[in-house]
Amino acid sequence: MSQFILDLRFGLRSLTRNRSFALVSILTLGVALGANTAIFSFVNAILLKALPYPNAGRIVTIGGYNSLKYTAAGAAEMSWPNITDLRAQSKTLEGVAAYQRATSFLYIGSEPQQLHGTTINAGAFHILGVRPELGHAFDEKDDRLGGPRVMLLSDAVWRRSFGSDRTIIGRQIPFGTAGKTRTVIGILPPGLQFPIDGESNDFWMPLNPTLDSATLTHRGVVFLNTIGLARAGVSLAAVNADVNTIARRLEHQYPDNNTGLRMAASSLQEWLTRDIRAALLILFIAVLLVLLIGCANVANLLLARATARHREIAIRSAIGATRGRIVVQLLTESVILSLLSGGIGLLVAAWGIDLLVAIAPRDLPRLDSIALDTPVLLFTLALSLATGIIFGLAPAIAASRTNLTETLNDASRGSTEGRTRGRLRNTLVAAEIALSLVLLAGSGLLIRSFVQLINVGTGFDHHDVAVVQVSARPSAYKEDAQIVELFRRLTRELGALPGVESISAANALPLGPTEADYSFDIMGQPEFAPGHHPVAITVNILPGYFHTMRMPLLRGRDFTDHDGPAGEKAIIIDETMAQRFFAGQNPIGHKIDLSIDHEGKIIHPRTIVGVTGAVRFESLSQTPKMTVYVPEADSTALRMFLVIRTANAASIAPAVRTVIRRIDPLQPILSISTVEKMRADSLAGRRVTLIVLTILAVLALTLAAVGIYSIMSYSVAQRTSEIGIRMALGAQAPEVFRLILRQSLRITVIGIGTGLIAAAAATRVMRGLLFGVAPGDPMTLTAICIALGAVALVASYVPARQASRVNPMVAIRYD
Amino acid sequence: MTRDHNVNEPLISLHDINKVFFTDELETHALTGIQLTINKGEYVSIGGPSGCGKSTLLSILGLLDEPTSGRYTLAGHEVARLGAPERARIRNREIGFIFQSFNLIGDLNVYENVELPLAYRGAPSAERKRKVETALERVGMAHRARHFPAQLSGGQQQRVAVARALSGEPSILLADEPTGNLDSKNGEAVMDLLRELHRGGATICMVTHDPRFTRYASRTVHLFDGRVVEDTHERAAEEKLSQSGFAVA
Repeated sequence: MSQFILDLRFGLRSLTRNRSFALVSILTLGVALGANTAIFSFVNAILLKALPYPNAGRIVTIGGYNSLKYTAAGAAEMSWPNITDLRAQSKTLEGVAAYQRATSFLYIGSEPQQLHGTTINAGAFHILGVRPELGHAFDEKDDRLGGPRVMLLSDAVWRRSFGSDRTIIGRQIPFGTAGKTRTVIGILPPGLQFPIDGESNDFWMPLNPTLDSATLTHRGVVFLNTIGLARAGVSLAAVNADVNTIARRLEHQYPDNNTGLRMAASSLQEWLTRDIRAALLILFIAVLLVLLIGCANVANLLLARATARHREIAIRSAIGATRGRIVVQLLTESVILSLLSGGIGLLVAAWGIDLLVAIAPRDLPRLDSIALDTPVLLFTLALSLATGIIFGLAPAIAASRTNLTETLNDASRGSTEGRTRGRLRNTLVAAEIALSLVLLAGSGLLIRSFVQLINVGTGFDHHDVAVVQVSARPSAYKEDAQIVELFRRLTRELGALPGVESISAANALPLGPTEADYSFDIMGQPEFAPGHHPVAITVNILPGYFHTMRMPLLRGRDFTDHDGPAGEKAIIIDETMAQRFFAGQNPIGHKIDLSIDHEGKIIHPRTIVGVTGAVRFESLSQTPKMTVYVPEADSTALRMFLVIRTANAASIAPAVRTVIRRIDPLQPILSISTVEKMRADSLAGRRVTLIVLTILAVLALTLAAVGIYSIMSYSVAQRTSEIGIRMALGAQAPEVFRLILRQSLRITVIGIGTGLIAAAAATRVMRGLLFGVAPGDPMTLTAICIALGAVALVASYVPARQASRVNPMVAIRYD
Repeated sequence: MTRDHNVNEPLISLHDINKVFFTDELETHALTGIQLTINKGEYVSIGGPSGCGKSTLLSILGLLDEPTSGRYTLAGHEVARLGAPERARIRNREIGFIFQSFNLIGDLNVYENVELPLAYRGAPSAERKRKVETALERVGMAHRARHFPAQLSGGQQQRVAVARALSGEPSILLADEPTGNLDSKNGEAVMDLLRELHRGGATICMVTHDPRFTRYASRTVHLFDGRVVEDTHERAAEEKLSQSGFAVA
């Protein structure tokens, strides 16, 4: 212990007497450790930290998919009858519960408050292991068709809107639509989030009373998410085997809708993070690479310092320090450095986390739990210690290999470092260049992907379009005709606002989520076998939608106010569908039979009256899928997006509110935004990955440049005498300049070569994040090699110039 | 240094020691067939022209280097083929070094420099303090304990180096040109200090090419081309020095 204290004391003394070295090292490592801590705080909160439910380790999510078309990765929602059978037949699951996101309104105060919640089976709270803090959860008696109108509130809503009033239990509150009420039966614990999807969780209601008879019985209506609680000791593989046995049984029993049905169970945590996992892990690897580059830089500084300290080390050795003892002493110094860097890193991380949270997509799961908490602090401490050992070990071992006799005699004063140590320094810089190239390749590919995405044809004009999401109140607009009339009136009156060029409405917009996917048959063409039905995204629109969105109408006509229940059953298809089923034909006049509409009724065949251009739903990276458009008048949706083409799309919100309030003062407005913003939001995840990776790549490049500069400067200083002799023998300044540049070039070429091999392998794991560019894209890699070569050249320029200006008279005496 | 003055007990025995340096193309025979015994309490001076192998011999004696062949016994133990950790342990406990260029550690103050061998030995703090203070008193540098080497003159630095060599109470002090970087006045002072230590019972082996300082030793070993060509004890040395015109103090 006393030796450790002595080492510590010597180490601190040594660093305070070499402030420049200490400062450069601490800042280099501090930034790298800070970046690591910031990214790890995301990895920890999103991927590692257990979900905040008592049963977290046993909760699984179960998704269904058609194995004839998709893989288990495409597992998603299931129909209610299939979920009921799963619950009844499963041997490995203790409970199964379905749920669906819901948005509703609390009528307190002057304007309805929009709340986000979930309709969910009663058993879900047993699965989660959660009990209300106040009151009780709903049970099976509540969760049935025609069950009572009860609900649970979040702690936050209870405090915010009801002032933590404990008498709220059993009280009816104005909720849902104007004039309707629900009885609050419980308040859930503070901070409870379920589902975890970036939306707030304000209320929970029993699922079954919200379903209609068609969705309760039809296995083709697939829209519910499912969770289950694995029995204690049952593995995920066993759950998967069990649910697939059930899926096969259901496939056999109900071939019309279940042909090809398979189910996939995964842990809830894994499922929640499925979209972000790859990007986070890539960023984590990238930030570790930056730390390695930082370590290489500091190791190089330590090697240079060890050369300067070789006499001190020899003295220590001569008076009895073993090699191990010297290594421990030097490692103590490097660990002191790394721990101080860790402290700086925490400051950098605190700032970095704020920045990352600010730019992170809002739907990132568990964003609110990202913090510098105990696991993150322990990670930083462990990483700092490991870093100190990583960058300190090689220089310490190299330094401990001192020739005592030579070093302790004056004759060695002017000697340069040994070949081994020089090779180690060159190797470290080549490794820095290689690692930088890997990072630059990653960010370069993401930049190219992003550019491709931005330039990808959206199929519509996203500029100057305001989007107003409105949900017709069921209590006020009970009939389809009333709903249609509401939206027609809204478009009429909003269309009269100054500056509005055109206006229409749709229940799903390009780049946003779809509302419904329906399978279909084409009249006059052979029927599809069960399980092989094609599926089309179905969008309800008002007339003028294509004009407002500036989507090309390639054939036929738009809908008119005459298309509706009384008129022709019309449908407009997109070019993707036209090319697949009507190649070389005119689809106009052909009839399509959509399996069901959203209420589960069989609809009469519809006649194709137009063909429009294709658009992408969900995100820009999705390929256009077959889409059909039906008139809102013919298949009413309560919730619609009003699209308003106007030059002042970003500032039209107040006028829009005034008009809607005039039409119906109680009419909730869900959101007012622009298509431009929706497009930007759809790119948010990629943008964050791109920004972070680019910052890391620039950091890596800077560190590599500093590494090249420092090794070349050091080399010039070491070779001053040799350069002087060369010049005394007749070497010209340009020859000396080239001599130094050649040395730098050799290291750079080795680094780039190694980096190219590493990048070819490393960028393969990024395939899922790329768009329109292959992992080994030659153009990107060539550009990066040129950029790295240029940076190496610039970093070597100053040392080479210094070398070419050496005064031979002075240099020969250089000692 | 409080050892018994027993001049007949061998402390160091070298038998047929050879040292060959191998480079890419050359074999350089630095030492050839060295036979040398140093008894406890002796003060041996090793002399000879530049390149004769003096420093190589001292490095082997100090276990800083290994002989290519031959046997080396230190205090009754064969040490020629020991591993690096064991050699470090013996250097720490049995040998005290005094170098021409002092070789103090610039980042450590006088006290810490002298304390270093004891620290490597794992000595308790109180023992370290006592021994460091004693050693500094003996060389007259106790008042400079908190100074750094750069704040001292060359002579003072060499006295600190002697204190550091003494602090571990070694069996032998090995001095390599201890006056080489000092002016004549400081050189004399350091030699006086070594003589005092010898009179107190210390065994000293010193390399020097300066004939003025060989007179301080009780025995002179002369090397030429890596071989011992002369081994002269006190009386004979004095006669030789008188013939060459030097007076013995």
